[in-house]
Amino acid sequence: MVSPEHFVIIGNGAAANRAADVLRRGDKDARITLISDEFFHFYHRHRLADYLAGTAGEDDLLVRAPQHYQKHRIRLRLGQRVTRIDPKEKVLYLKHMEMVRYTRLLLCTGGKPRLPEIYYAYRAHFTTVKTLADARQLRERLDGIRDVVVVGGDLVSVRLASALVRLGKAVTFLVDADSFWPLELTPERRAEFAERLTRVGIAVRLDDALAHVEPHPSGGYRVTTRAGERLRADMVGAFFGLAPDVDFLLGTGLDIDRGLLVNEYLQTNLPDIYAAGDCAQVYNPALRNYWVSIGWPNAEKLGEVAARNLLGQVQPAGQAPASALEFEGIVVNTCWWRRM
Amino acid sequence: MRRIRKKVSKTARRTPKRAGTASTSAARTPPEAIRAPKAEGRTTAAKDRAAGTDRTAADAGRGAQTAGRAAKAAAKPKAPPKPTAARRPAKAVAKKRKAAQRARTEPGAAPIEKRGKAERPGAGPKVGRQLASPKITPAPTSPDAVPLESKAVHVQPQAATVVPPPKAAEKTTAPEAVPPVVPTAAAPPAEPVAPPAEPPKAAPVRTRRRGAAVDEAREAEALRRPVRRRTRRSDHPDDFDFARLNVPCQWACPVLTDVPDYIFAIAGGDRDKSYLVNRATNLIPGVLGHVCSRPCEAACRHGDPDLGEPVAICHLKRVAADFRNQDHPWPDRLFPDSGCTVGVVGGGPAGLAAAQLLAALGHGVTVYEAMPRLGGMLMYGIPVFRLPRELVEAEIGRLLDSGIAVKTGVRVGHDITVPELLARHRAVVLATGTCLARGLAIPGGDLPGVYSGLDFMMAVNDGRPPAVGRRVVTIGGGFTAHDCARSVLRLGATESHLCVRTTEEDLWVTREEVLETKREGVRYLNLVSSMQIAGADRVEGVVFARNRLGPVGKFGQRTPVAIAGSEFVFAADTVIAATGQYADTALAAAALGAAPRFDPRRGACEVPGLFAAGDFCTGAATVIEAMGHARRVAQAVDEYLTGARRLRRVVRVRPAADTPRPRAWDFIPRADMPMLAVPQRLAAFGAVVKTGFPAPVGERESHRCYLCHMKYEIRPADCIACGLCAAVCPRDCIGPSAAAGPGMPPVWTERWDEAAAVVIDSARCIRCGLCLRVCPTRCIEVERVEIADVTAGE
Ligand SMILES: Cc1cc2nc3c(=O)[nH]c(=O)nc-3n(C[C@H](O)[C@H](O)[C@H](O)COP(=O)(O)OP(=O)(O)OC[C@H]3O[C@@H](n4cnc5c(N)ncnc54)[C@H](O)[C@@H]3O)c2cc1C
Ligand SMILES: Cc1cc2nc3c(=O)[nH]c(=O)nc-3n(C[C@H](O)[C@H](O)[C@H](O)COP(=O)(O)OP(=O)(O)OC[C@H]3O[C@@H](n4cnc5c(N)ncnc54)[C@H](O)[C@@H]3O)c2cc1C
Ligand code: SF4
Ligand code: SF4
Ligand code: SF4
Repeated sequence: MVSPEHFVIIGNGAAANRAADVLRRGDKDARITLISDEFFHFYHRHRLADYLAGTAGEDDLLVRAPQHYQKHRIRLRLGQRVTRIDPKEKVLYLKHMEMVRYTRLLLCTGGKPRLPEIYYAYRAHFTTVKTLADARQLRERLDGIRDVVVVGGDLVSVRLASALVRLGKAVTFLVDADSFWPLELTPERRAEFAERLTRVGIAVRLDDALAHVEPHPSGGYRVTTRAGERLRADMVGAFFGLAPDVDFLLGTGLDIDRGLLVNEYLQTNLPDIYAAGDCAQVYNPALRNYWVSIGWPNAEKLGEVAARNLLGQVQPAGQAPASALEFEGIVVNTCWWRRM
Repeated sequence: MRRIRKKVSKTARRTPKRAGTASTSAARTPPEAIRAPKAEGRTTAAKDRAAGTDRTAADAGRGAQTAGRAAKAAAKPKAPPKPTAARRPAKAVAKKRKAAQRARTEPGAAPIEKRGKAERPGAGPKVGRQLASPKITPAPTSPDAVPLESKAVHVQPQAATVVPPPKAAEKTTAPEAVPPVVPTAAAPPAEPVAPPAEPPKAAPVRTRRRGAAVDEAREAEALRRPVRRRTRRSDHPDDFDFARLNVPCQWACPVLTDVPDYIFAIAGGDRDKSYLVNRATNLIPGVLGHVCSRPCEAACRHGDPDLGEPVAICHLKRVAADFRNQDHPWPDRLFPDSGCTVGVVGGGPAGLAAAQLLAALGHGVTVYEAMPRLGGMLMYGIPVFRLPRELVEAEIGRLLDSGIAVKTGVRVGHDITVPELLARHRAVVLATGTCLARGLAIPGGDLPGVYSGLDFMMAVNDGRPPAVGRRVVTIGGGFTAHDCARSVLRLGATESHLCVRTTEEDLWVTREEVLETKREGVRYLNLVSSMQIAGADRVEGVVFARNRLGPVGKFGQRTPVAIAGSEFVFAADTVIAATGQYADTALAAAALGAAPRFDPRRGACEVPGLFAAGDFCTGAATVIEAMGHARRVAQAVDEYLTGARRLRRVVRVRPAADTPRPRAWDFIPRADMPMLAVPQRLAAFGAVVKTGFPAPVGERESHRCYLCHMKYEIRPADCIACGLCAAVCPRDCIGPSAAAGPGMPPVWTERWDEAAAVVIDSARCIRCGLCLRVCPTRCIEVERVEIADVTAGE
């Protein structure tokens, strides 16, 4: 019998793929569609630094062979952006005006580079790396880049900065204790962190932060630090971690605070719509609070839980995160930074 | 109106925006996705509700009728004026296409009706190539602005003061500014272009873009076109509908500030005119340039999906105020002395707005104000770091020149009663705002260390700031809460938390305010409801419950629902409850028996001659809403006093030649407001945070405005359905419609051979003028539409 279900998953990251696999295992006949605005197949984001450094090619990033989707009859729509969903009619609209119907929807839209408010005015001057497309673009620009200033600090930036040093760029790292992400930079951690950076050849400025960036008349940027230091840079990398990418869902009736608000079963406030991965802000009764988890293993786990619940089971998203940090008013699960 | 305010924060904060990309997709499925991108979700529905009904309601006679139409016509473009082009057979279209080609190769073939200076041989092209000075001067589109405006209500001073003659030497602040054109008051009404008074000097604005030369040649050509139409004035609901859909910013402004007109004046370097256009309706442009809640920007077409960010309408108001050359006196009254006197109680924005209009209408006005200084919340509520007091005093001082008597230090209800005032004056307007704070009605709400937000801010602004602890928790999400949370950081607190019941989406302040609040270090704690203040004999913390979002409330905001068993304690040593303010209705009730019930629209009540305006009548709102309300009430008072409706709201439609700006300006990104660095802000309480656009930045920002008051329409009789316009249109908003007629929405079709007419979806159109410039038969008409209040006899 043909299943009447059409599971549509927005996203093609860790959460989306795990969910698709679980859904297929649980329902052999349902139609399953993954939609992503990225043009590439499912890849390891954490290897983007290696890609930038040239030690990994694009193929090395791939998580699985593209045939996987054919084999499991998962329809993959790449390079298609969802612009709007209409929960009443159960349809979503793609950027190119196509309409897709769903019976149940899973939102795995992930995160986007976070930018603290203080730096909002300089957003046009910053380089961020979230996707392979960003990394490709940066790789093309690399020849023209000599001096790099990195502001903020998250573990992605450490990897990328190291990659840039390996490529012979002069990297200055402004470690901003206030906006380091998502860990609290205790003095010990900070010293350790600085030492690690210095070891790879990065010029570290502890306790200093960005005060101003402006384009340099002769190309590149002029960066002024709070301590008054003036730096010239061909690229200013801003790395403050990721924040849920849910802007396009505003106005659909979905509850949104920082991320998509879901209960412990990953259900949004609208029927038949679930959320998992970096984009979800999950209520945790034990914590009496919402939490956002940003990280690969968590995304996979949440994807799996969401898929099970979509299949009719009742599974909570689980315990409070093992290591968590209250950050800007939300609890962020930080246990994921440990490896990978 | 509340919904509009919410929309400000919503669109501005979260809608993903990309600058200047245009939708060029040919696919037309699903049609509604293309044609009505905004007609979706609660936001727009609420916005329409607010904008449509509120404004039309002010228009008493037509209220219901127009509101109904407004709802129906949401996102519906104006159909072509005549339904003549009923289904064209394919052959006819082919013929017309050929004709189009002919017409393109021999432009002289089109009949040219000579009219106006610009059409004199040679004048057009020269004007165009000479770096387009006429394009960025206000003159071409407002040839008759001066004579008409001087008759329009209140404000516009005599012709001579509207636009001072170009004094290059005076404009030292912006040497690159283009000398303004001298509008000759005697110019014939339909004249499309006034040539520059003197050859324009080279200006950096233009050297910046090379590609624009092409545009300029075309524009020059376009400017030479015959303009066959005349200025008309209309109060037909269709025209109001059109204005509502097409000039969304003006329609969203509670006092109907003519936004495109004043922005265009800045583009032409004439900040004085810009200031006066503003002052005509919003009375205190400098003040509003600092603190307006800007419903206009939420509505701005430039913020539509794929069009980038809204024009910085409010900041440009400040540019006009900061860089104008002179302090302009108020113009003479509109009507001679009526012999009536009116008492206005309360000297806040609402009281002053009512007083100004009543004075302009010829009545003798006295303002009674309890505090030593006028301004209401502008003086005692909003903190100095957001609004310098000299500015408030200067603009209010000027306003009083229009013939308003003031009695400060008189508390009505205490020093004099309302019945006494009613005996003294023919009418009394109560505009005492919402001066009572809603306390925290939870256990522990009266512990030492708990303040009410309004009292806190008033004490701070009065120079007696209360002592605050190190960790301050402010409860509330409005202007007052934000100001408290920011003020305490300047008063010694090291941690300031702002606790909101729902999410940042539902905050009632502008996104910029939220951003600055965060930047200063205030932390938001979203989705919490205060249940109890913890502490033995002073505040030690707040017990909060975690919320989830409930149903949509009365004003379109989400309601919070506490999650069972989610209570937690949040430590604090000072708690400020900014949870709302309400009006002191006892003022009127004490003397009159029962509290009078005021008509929320016109402010009248059972007691003849007693009116209420502003926050006092509507509940806590914003400066501009209070002023908009007060102006409506003032008209009701005038009607009560004279028995006649002496002001009429009309749509004025004037012919125009083309959009006087190059397409390249559509891609300028929105300028960010320069701000003082955080340490400097926190070091001095009075340090004003927003430093204001420098003049050149303001001018560049003014270039961004699409000038939506330009109305593009195709004359079906002359259209040959050649499709050239549709081919060049960057917005995909012009094309064949299978049906056409007045008030009929376009029925888009792919097939040109079955098109009844080629139509423009004005709600999507960005007035780039490209269609007009390629049209071989010149059948695209441009008009300029504006809403104005005029004296009834006019
Ligand atoms: C450079 C980098 C290094 C990292 N390193 C580590 C690490 O070492 N360890 C670790 O645990 N985590 C790491 N992370 C974080 C980890 O990659 C993420 O937490 C994880 O990928 C989250 O998976 P997700 O499925 O929730 O979302 P994502 O992987 O972000 O996928 C979301 C997808 O949804 C798509 N999408 C979003 N909106 C739309 C839309 N409207 N229409 C269509 N598609 C849409 C996006 O294009 C994207 O493909 C790193 C992240 C980055 C960027
Ligand atoms: C802290 C704070 C910040 C705000 N920030 C903004 C902002 O940034 N943008 C914005 O748009 N709005 C803001 N608002 C709201 C805005 O100030 C009000 O909506 C607006 O001032 C209302 O105008 P009003 O004239 O109706 O009342 P008010 O401004 O309150 O004026 C009432 C006047 O009546 C006087 N009065 C009261 N009782 C008597 C009496 N018995 N006899 C005589 N006189 C009396 C008062 O002294 C006062 O001068 C803010 C409000 C507060 C409290
Ligand atoms: S672009 Fe200009 S005229 Fe159009 S809505 Fe925005 S401010 Fe108003
Ligand atoms: S007064 Fe306020 S709402 Fe009106 S146009 Fe000016 S900024 Fe916009
Ligand atoms: S002016 Fe013409 S070409 Fe430009 S957006 Fe409007 S209809 Fe399209």
